[in-house]
Amino acid sequence: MNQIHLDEELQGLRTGLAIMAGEVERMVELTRDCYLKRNAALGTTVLDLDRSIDIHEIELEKKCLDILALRAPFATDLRIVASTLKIISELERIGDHSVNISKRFINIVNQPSTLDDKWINEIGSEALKLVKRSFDSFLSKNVDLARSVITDDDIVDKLYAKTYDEVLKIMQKDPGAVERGSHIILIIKNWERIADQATNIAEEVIFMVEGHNAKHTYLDQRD
Amino acid sequence: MVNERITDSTTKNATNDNEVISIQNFNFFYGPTQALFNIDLSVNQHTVMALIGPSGCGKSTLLRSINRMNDLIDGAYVQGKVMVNGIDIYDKSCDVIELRRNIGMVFQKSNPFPKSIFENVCYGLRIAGITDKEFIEQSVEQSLRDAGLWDEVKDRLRENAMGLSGGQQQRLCIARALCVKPQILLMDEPCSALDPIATTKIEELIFNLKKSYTIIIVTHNMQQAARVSDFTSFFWLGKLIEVGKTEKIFTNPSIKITEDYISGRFG
Repeated sequence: MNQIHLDEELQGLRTGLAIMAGEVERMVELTRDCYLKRNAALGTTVLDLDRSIDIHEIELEKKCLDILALRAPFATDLRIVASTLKIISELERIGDHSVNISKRFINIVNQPSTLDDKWINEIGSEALKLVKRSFDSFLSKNVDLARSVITDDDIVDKLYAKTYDEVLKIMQKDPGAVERGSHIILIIKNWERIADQATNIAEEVIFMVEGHNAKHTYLDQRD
Repeated sequence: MVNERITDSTTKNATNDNEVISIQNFNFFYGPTQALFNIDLSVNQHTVMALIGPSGCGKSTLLRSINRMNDLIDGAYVQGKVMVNGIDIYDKSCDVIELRRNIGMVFQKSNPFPKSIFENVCYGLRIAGITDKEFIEQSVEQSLRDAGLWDEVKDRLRENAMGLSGGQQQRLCIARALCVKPQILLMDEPCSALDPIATTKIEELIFNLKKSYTIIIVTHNMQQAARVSDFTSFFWLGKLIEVGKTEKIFTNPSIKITEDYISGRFG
């Protein structure tokens, strides 16, 4: 086995993943800003970027499979490839959720609102923070940062639950708010999923660096 | 550089009723040169233990110490114990002939005798003085079946074994080892001279044989160690650096030297 080639291929994988992650981060940021800045054009840009993410996913997946088939990596090398395969899938899903949110933002961004916008922007900003930190933890192989993402996912979960309750109350009082409220409920659900995906990436970073599974830790109690 | 050997908890548990081989504080010397240093290793019944490490690390020396194949080397001597079924094989009372009957060995290069296929397989029985023709025929057939060779040679048992292919010759040697009903099989790079198809057959054979035998295999092929073994031991400069479940060693070894070796970044 030519290890110089393997090292180059792993570096290529890392660079490709960094580029894909950078583009996904931009999509998430544009999605958040679409509503924050009341700019539907930003949402349209998100829809355009999705194709590029799909191409990255296919290319990086092929690179991973080529390395597995041709280099048969072990130990850390194996974990890097296995984690990359899962992370690109999470990135692609984050891109899809951004597209879902952007489509709804484009519909409602310029309509008059009877709902408090602060909630929508807050959950978007918190999810974006988790996305950025999960990517940073991957690039710097920083497991402490990755663990902080897993912990802080609770912030987004709580914001989601709070916002959901508030929007539901408003819709119950004002039937005229139901259409917009339905959009918002789906938007915050997508933000909550983006935060979950950032958490999944953080868990992959811990596996990649430390070699043990950080998922479903309640199962560690098994014999 | 290496202060402690890592042994995972699953391997420590080998010190139980299933333990067949227990190597304890074992040192091996080629005259003034020490080849193995304070080796402690347990092997459980019906498992496959792979010994890996760079050339000269002592893995073959250890393998050959388990059935005292090193006895004939001038100036060689050992310290410590190799316990097989609870008996110290280096004790003066040990019957070396019986030991080697109980611990079969397969070498890197197949070494059939210039005799018929049948006579190769029953050679161990004949030198043990067994003359029961029916018993010998049954044993030969069963050994060839166990070695996955019966269907290929059943119609030419009286032909010279030297006419078999390399892969067939290696399986013939395995059949010859099995015919005397050993408990343990030692394999020293058994596939290094074989093509991928013959290698696959031997690896499948190892998988099947472990139901009835305990196997220790030396291999330089990391993929092979990963494929066939339950436990893997990594040796370096005559020391056992790390031992553990094979999936652990190949996905998340505890020691950097082990990782460097299995991922090809050694040296």
